[in-house]
Amino acid sequence: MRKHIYILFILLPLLATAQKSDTVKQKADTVRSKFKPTGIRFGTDLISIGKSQYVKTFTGWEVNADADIYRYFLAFDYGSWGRNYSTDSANYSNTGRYYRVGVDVNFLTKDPEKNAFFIGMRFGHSKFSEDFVVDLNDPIWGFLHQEYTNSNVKASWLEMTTGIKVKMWKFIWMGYTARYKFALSMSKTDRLIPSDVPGFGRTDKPTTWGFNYQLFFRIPIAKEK
Amino acid sequence: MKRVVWFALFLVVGVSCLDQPDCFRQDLNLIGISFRKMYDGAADTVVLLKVSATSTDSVFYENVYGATFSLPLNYLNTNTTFVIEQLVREYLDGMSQTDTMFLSHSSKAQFVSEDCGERFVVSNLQLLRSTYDSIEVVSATPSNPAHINIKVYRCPRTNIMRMSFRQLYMDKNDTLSRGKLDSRPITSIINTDAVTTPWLQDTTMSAILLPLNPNTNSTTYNFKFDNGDSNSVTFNYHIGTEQIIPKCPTQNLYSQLDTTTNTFKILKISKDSLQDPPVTNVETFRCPTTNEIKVSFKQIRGSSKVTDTLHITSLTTDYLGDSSVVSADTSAITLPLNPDATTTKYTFNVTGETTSPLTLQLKYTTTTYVFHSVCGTQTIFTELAIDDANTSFYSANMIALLPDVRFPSVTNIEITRK
Repeated sequence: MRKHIYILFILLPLLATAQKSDTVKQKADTVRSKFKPTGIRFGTDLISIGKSQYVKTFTGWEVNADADIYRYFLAFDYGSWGRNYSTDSANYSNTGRYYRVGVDVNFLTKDPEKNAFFIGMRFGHSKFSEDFVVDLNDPIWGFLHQEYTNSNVKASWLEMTTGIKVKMWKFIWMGYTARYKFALSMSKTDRLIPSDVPGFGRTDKPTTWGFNYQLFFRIPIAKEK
Repeated sequence: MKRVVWFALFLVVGVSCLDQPDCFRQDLNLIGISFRKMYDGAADTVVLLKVSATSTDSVFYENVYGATFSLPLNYLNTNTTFVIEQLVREYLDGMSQTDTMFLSHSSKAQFVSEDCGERFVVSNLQLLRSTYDSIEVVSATPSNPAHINIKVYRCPRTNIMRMSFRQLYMDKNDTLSRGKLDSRPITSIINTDAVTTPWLQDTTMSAILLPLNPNTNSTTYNFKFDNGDSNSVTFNYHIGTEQIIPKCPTQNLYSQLDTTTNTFKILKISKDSLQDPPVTNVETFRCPTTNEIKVSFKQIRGSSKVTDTLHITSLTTDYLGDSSVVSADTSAITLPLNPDATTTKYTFNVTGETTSPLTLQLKYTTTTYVFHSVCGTQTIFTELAIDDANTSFYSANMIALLPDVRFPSVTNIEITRK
């Protein structure tokens, strides 16, 4: 995991250097004003809200925020995620909180409405608990009734993101973010292997996809140049 | 409106990408056991009569052979004890040996999905003890499907000889002077020191492994074959001792293999000392049958010639006298020629034909030839032809395809129904 974090921080300056040749030609005061944030967007994930209403096995919410610094967005997400599954032989539930922090690079820098098509990276972290009750009859080894619990498990991962944010009306933006999640690492557990990490998803695959459909409100904090 | 469509499109695409559960992983609790020979580490094919575990009534294997096997660990517990009953080829009576393998491991549960339920991941495999000569854990991580986790080694088996059956051919050019391996249907092979349990029964083999009695200097085997042949052979040998491999005890070494009594027509000692893996020590040969021809039945269908079926209830060969009841639908039949005459007549009682019986008389010339010195002088048949005057087979074309009799038999006569 530490290796992937290093890679993330190595890549970010590389993204920045793509604009270096343009920026060195700017005067110092112009550069300062260019990198001054012009607004902060606060939003929420509509899919999480919808799933909480209509999917019996899921409860959760997620809030998002970003601030523009020239063509970069500093992004922060915070959410809650709980699952509750029941099968013939098992009951599983988990609950936890997570956050993601990272940077997006906007490729629509000249759009007067501040619309964005972006690619970025995130570092995600989650802390969660799980309960698992198994009641099965194995055809070879017989009956098992067992309760398993994991408490305060910590997990972290990396994400590559892409998406768009489009101004819909005055201060309202909508957007989506597709996430490719990888490099999951978790703290050690005793007898129960975590099944679902809030913010990441299922753990039985090394990588997974996520998708957010977000509604934002933008608060301007500086006048546009 | 355009923006709404734009967002709706991406929403559908995105939601469809959300991962749905699939049951591609199951319990990771299988271990692979590889049986090997201690002296070279090569795979050892074993016969497992029964493989079970102490904590279940389930039987994992019964009467199987192979060199690697997979077994499930008890993921509900931290120990699994396997009981493995194995045929031991060194024993004269085909008796088995039972070994046990005490294993410890740890197990973790995981919920996979609503559709797939739970799974168990077993790890940290350790061998507590076993009754095998030598055994090692090479991988402590069970998997699914299994890979090799445990290797079981055995000491050399020094008392097993190999005997092969060979068939000699009518081979004038002597390119097959030793013939070819001969798969013989065997009714039974019994070691006279363990008469109650046949060493082999009801099988077809071209080579067999026979253990020599380690307590005496001779071992006798009685053979019964499906064709009615019965043979007996007594092997004599010298027994020495040596520690072949440091991990194994002092073992017998068998040499100077020979026979005292033998009823096989031809039996040859090709190697007089035994080794593991066994090499052919003894070969028995059958001489070529020189007087058998094959007759096939055909019919014309359209513009092509296809196989015809004749329902023969009985068949009489003149020089043999007796009538053999066939009572079968046949499209080809092997017939013997009289070596003491120049004609042989066959009478077929058939059903479903306008005329019965049908007769077929063949004429030929006989000479003698020595194909193999061990077989002596044999009669060979040439200039084979149909004696039309004494043949009453239904209106047909009869062709003598091949005037010389060969072994193995080839179709000499073809009878085509019009």
